[in-house]
Amino acid sequence: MKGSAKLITSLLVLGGLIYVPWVVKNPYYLHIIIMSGIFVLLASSMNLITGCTGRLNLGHAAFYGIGAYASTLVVMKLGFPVWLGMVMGGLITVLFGVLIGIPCLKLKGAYLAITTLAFGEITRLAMINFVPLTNGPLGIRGIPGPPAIGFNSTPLISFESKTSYYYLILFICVLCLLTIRRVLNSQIGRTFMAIREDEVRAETVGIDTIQVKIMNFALGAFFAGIAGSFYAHYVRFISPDTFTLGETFTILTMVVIGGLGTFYGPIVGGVIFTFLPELLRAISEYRMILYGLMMSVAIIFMPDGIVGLLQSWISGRTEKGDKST
Amino acid sequence: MGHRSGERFMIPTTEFAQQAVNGLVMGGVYALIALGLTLIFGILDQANFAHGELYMIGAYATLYFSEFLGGGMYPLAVVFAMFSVAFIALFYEWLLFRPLRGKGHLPAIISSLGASIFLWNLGLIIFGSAPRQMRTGLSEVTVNFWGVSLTLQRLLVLVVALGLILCLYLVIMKTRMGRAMRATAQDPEVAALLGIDINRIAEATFIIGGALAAAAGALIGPIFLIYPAMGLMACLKAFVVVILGGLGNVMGAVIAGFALGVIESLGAGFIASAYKDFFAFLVLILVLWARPEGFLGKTAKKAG
Repeated sequence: MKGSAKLITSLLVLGGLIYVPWVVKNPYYLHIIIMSGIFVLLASSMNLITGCTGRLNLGHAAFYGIGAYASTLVVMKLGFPVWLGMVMGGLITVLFGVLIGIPCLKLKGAYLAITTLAFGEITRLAMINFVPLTNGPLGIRGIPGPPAIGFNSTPLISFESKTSYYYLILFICVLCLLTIRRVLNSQIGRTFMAIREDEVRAETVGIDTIQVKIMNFALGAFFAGIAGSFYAHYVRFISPDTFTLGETFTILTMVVIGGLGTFYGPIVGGVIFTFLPELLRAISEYRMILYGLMMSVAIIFMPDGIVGLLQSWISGRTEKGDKST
Repeated sequence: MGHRSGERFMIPTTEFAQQAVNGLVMGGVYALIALGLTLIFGILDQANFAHGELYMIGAYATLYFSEFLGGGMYPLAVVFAMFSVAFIALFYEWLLFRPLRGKGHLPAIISSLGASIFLWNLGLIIFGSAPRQMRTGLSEVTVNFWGVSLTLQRLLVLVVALGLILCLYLVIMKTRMGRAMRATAQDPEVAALLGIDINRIAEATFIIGGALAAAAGALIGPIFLIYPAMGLMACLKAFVVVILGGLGNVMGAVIAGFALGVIESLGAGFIASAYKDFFAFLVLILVLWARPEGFLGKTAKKAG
């Protein structure tokens, strides 16, 4: 009964999301909705590392950037087809995720945060300084979009309108989020949380913590890399300015305020914090001040974020309801 | 601090000494910032990611106080800045760290990271993004020792840094408060059982850390430019120093601070100046990979 109710709700939500381009005609609004899809992916992948195993990754924007650059470079320099390039973007990011994951195995808390922060800065410096490959601070222009999908000469989806990109990111998001959900509900997901709660005990009960931690980093890197490669082929311009520490902080704000360690938290946070700057256009210079403040206040007063608050409110209500009947 | 590509074949000893001395000056500043960080880390087991902002505010406070007080009052401005930043650090403890004590590492890291972002961007609004320069007159006078030239300001940094480090050492080793701090660092529960008020210790630790960070900002202000984002990189390097020196290890932080300053300066001077910050990160990653407990630290006392 409960399972079918959940299924119906998800189908209704999905139906509503498919219907969005009919309602939102303004291409600018649609662009923001597409960007919120990218940030939902980024926040969810950061949450996979930071929320689920409790290991703060301050190099997340670097994963995002590596995905974008990798996909762009294999397409533009090696002539890969765009679809393959996007997958390669994710896979190459996994390579970097594992590379940074291995020296970080022994680390936790502040040590890990600092190391990943340093990794993020090194990546950004590399993007700026490896000019032959990355074109330095000027960035890369004219990145091709995905080819049209269709039969011979009659394309079904041409990737010239925002609508087609909207459906693409919706598809990617649904696929990735379903995967994340499956991972979290599986044995592996539970080992992530076991490591977060008590690493020594997790090891004692026979969890191969090293393997799990590398897998965790690789998964988080993969989804961030996919987000990056979509970004590159959607915006068609990338530069080191996009993949900064500030971007990592923004993603962290989304995760913390949405709900650290919850499945829906990063989704809620990702959507809210992509729309918020548009609503607060008038005070945009105060944006990061607000984010910093909200991050501190949220972690002290609502450590499980908006979703945690809602969940406890709902469960409180149903408990009351159960008592009265 | 010149980068000379033509003289790679033979490094002149005076230039080497010059770079090393410049590195020592920077090292003094790193040590001052890192000392507060390592004390907070070692005694309270909390990482303060907003420590660099104390350094930034210290520099700006010195700038404004010395402008307000007029010429020649730089030393007084430094003292005022140390007091005001110590007060801000006390607020840190009350607002950001006390509510999260004993709740694991992650919440305190996130709350201080939030504070760091908040203060850094508030600095952008209040102080403006354009870098400011502080003039004390001490930078115009140069002294020479055996071919190594040093401005008076740089000499002052070294002398004051060493003086403050000595003061801190005496406080920690010789006073009642210092003994209580060391006891808390060893075992907070036993310390509390023995009647030590952890909250008082925490307040004292933050006040000392804030004052030292402010002193670092005040000393470096007249040498380099002052800008709102300066705290971030400083904090990162201070963490490198803390890790190198071993968590909570005061002497370790001092030695590691000077070592990092010299390594960076020599790396920038003789290899490539564009990669100055890169050397700090390289050292960090190598150390963490090879010896996570730091070179001067004992094996990690606390797990989890």
